[in-house]
Amino acid sequence: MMLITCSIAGNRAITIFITSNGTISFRSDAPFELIRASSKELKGAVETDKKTFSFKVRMRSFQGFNSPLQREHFNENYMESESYPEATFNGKIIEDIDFNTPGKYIVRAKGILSIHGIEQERIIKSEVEIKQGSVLIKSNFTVLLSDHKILIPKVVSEKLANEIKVEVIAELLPKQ
Amino acid sequence: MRCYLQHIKYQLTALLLLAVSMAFAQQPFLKTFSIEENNRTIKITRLLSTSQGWIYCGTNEGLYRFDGINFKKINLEDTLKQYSISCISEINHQIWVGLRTGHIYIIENNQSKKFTPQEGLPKKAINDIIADKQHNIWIATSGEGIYCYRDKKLFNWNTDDGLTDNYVYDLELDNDGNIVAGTDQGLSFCYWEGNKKRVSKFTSANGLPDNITRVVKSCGNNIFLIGTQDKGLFWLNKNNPVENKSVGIDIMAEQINCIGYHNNIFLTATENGLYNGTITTSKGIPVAALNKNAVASGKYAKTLIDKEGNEWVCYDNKLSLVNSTSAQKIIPDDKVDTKKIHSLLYTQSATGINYLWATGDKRIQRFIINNNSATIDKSFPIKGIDEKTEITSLYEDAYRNIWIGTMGKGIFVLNPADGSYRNINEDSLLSNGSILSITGSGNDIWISSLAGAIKCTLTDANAFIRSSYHFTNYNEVSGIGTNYIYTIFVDSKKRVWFGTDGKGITVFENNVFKNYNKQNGLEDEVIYSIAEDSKGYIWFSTSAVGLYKFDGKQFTNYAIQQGLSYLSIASIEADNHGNILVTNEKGVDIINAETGNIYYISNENVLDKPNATLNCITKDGNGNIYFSSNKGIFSYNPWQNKDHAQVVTILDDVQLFLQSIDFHNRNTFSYDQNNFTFNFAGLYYSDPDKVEFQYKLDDFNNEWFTTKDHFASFPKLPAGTYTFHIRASLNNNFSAAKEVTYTFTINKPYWRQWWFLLLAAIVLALIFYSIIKYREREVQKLQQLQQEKIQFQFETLKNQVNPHFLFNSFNTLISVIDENPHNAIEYVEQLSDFYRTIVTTRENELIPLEEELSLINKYFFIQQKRFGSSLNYVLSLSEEDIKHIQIPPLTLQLLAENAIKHNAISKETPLTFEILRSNDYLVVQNNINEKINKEPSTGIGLPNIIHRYRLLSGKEVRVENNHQTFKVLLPVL
Repeated sequence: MMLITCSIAGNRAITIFITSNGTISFRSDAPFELIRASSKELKGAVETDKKTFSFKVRMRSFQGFNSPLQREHFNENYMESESYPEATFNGKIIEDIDFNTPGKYIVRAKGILSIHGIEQERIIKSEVEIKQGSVLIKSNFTVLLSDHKILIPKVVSEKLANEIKVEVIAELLPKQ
Repeated sequence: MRCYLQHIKYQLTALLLLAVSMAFAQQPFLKTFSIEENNRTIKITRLLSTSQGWIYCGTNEGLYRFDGINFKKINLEDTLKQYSISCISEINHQIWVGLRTGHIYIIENNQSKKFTPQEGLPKKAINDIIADKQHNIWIATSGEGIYCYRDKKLFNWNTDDGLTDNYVYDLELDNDGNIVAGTDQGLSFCYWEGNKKRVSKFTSANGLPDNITRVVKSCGNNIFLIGTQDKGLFWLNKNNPVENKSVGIDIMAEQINCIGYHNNIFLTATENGLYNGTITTSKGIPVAALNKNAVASGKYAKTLIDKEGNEWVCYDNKLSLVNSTSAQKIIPDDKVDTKKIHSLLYTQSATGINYLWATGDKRIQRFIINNNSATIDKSFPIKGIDEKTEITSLYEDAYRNIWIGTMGKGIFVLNPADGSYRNINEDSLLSNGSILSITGSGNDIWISSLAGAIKCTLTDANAFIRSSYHFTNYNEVSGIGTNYIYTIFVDSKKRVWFGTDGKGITVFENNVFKNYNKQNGLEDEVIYSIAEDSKGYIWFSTSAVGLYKFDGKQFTNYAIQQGLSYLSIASIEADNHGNILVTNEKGVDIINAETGNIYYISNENVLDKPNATLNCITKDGNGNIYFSSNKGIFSYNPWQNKDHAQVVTILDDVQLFLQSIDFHNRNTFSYDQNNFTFNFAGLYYSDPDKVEFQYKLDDFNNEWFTTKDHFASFPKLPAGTYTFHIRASLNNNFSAAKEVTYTFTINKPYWRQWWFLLLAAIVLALIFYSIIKYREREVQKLQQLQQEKIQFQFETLKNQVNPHFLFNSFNTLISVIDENPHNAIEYVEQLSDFYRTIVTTRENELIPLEEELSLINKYFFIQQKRFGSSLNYVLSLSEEDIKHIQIPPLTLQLLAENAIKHNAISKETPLTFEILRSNDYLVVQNNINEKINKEPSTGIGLPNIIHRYRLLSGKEVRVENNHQTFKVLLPVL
């Protein structure tokens, strides 16, 4: 309700930017297999005056993989998407950043990364490009499967890396 | 680029004798150093003393390392960019450097690398970096809270996590492993509970005097010194937080900038001055004491107490030595007439006030001593002492009266409470006597005079100086040996020792005198001063041979060889901590009574020239010793740690062709990597100029080489394994010095490796073997050729003397004679010519074709006489070929013979013998009309030709027989 009131208030500076179609992709670079998958359903919001942000992605929205079976394994065996349908990252930007001045900024987002139901506090370095009327966020980071208690059976340990490289590209638009 | 920092000079500010009033608060720095680059002074803002012993200086233009004399720039990156450094820390022998920009560098083994966590670095200045017991790295920032680097991930702790404030000044570790952080809003105690951040606060709500906590310094045992913005300094006892107390009321309103701490002693820098203090625990309860340091007031940025105990400050952008290891000037020479100081005396009043007494001009002076600073208290003029009378000795008796010994006026006793005094005249030896020293124990006072020793036994009545004193005289007859006694010493066993002038040392025990002199091994019998160490051994100094230690059985001498500065020693004193302080006119030496190691209190810049008269040394109950020089009166604080005063030897850098190498990890080199330079350091900040080195390179030169240089070069080392040894000493006594070594190997060049030599030997042997084999084959070939040739000639000759040939020839001859006698002559001539030619050509292996052809011509002339037109001989060769082609002798002859021999020659079947050239072959061919009755063949001729060609040229003779033409192709030679 508060947020709605704010936006209705009219001429005030836009304080919330959102997206529902950001791209998040990951790659596992194991000795015997390279696995890639991505989702274009990254949802997110940044509240500029409080410097807070929130992002989430549905695990079942990831496409790609080397085979449909692999995708099934991803959801059923590893991520347990039934129990933990989403991965989220919520927190606050460390730097002070002026969302009204266009330009590229490197910021560090400090927040709780929740994957597979396991929460980890993380600082994720991101490039924020403030454009006229939108905010483009690009970010690269790694996720350790062990951090999130995603167990890799020994059989596939040569095919699945513990260190997963994640890339995020999302263009956030002002919330109307 | 090599940086020898020649352009960085250090400035040695001579002792500035500030003539400002203010009691003695104006003590100048002992030394001041500044970093000068391009005529600019680089601002020193941070200090660190490392576990290895180095002092690092952070500046607004990068990092420098200080060795006591020079600054060396440590490049943080290859670029020459200047960095403003906001903190320097040591973590696990690595130096962590934080910058104002938020960048962090790690220096290990003189190599620097950037700290680059995936999460990125702070954008705000780094204020402190420490490690906890789990090896997590904690980083304090000015505005982003604290970062913790844990399991290769960087975590941020800020106010959202419960931190008191995001502006964090300082970090320390407490006994429980928590991080204690000083922030703008109080203290935060941070710790991990699993993966959860836990923060507890200690703020003004808990009784913190000031929430802005700029400095947190751990003093061990969970006791912290906290420096605040406005409320000065206080200590925090984490074991019992109720007990937090402020330290030293006089800085309660000052901003604390830094606390240097070492062995319970701290040095605090504020916006207004410097403070020295101690914090000790008594039954778990901290006890702190604080004193304003007697240095000029002003704004002090940073303080540091190094491993040796020297106290350093950043003042006016420069690095200054405030107090050296032990010697601190407490009374400058403008406050006391140093020439008139012949005796010093420490006393403590009943109320605990510490006094230092010094003799002066017709008076004695009293100063109040308080934690290494002194103020003038009172002056006691003594009437009855004229200009010519020197005061030689001071003593406080059991009733706190001061005994004053003079030369020529005997003894005065002073009651310091009211200033009254009187001359002692009860004893004949004392009236107008010359007193050399006064000492005593309990109610016994011992006086040495030029007339002998005198003992005074006090009674309670002597609390009043007007009461009469009772004396006993001991002179020559008593057994001391002489009446000239320089000093008397009463030891812990109540034995009385007499140091005599020329008769050695005498001990008075159980009413018996025992004298030790030359016969006991004393090389000098003039004894000036006596002391007892903590083990009860007696030390005494001599006029010419240094010191002796007497353990009850034997005397051990300490002289120049053992490291003493000078052999004539006026005064010695034990410091209650195992050291003997020795003053002489060259300086002050400190001997470790147990090990005999000798160290020095810097003399050149600090003391100048110590007072070399007797009795100018005194100590207080803690073992602090006071002595004087012409620069004033100094106090020495005992060295509690036996080892800390040793010079630290460091092999700093190994260079190969003047390029630094990572010698910690590399010790094997190729044969042409043979130019080595070793850079080393001997750290002794108390007196860096005294450091000398000895080095040797085992297996190259096994002799120690002594130098004051900080490097050793070995160009063109031959292959081998070497060990470089370096050790340092302050007194040319290297035997006890710790060695630092570096062993390395220069490999032999490959041509001197065993495998190469072996390979080369094998190859040489093979070559030699094949040469021999080749020669053998050549010889065999030659022999064979010779044999073939002989056989061939024999064959040819045999053919020619073949009866058929002769018979045919003769028949032909007969017919020719008939027809034409003239032709017959020619025929015989040709025949004879033919035989001659066969015989003469046998010597050569090759003959020109021309010669062979002339033979063939003759042969065919002879044969044609027989066969007439049935025998055709066609020669189709150019003049050129005839002249230049070489051929084994009799080859064509043999082929011609064979052709005639094997073919039926008649009008119906004529024989055509042809010689022609075809490419590289000389072709000899004839048509075939085989005889029905074959003439027996020897089977030698043709194979012989083939063989001869093979041996001579390696080329093959081709024989073609198509039953119409017989063709022999001879390779052209």
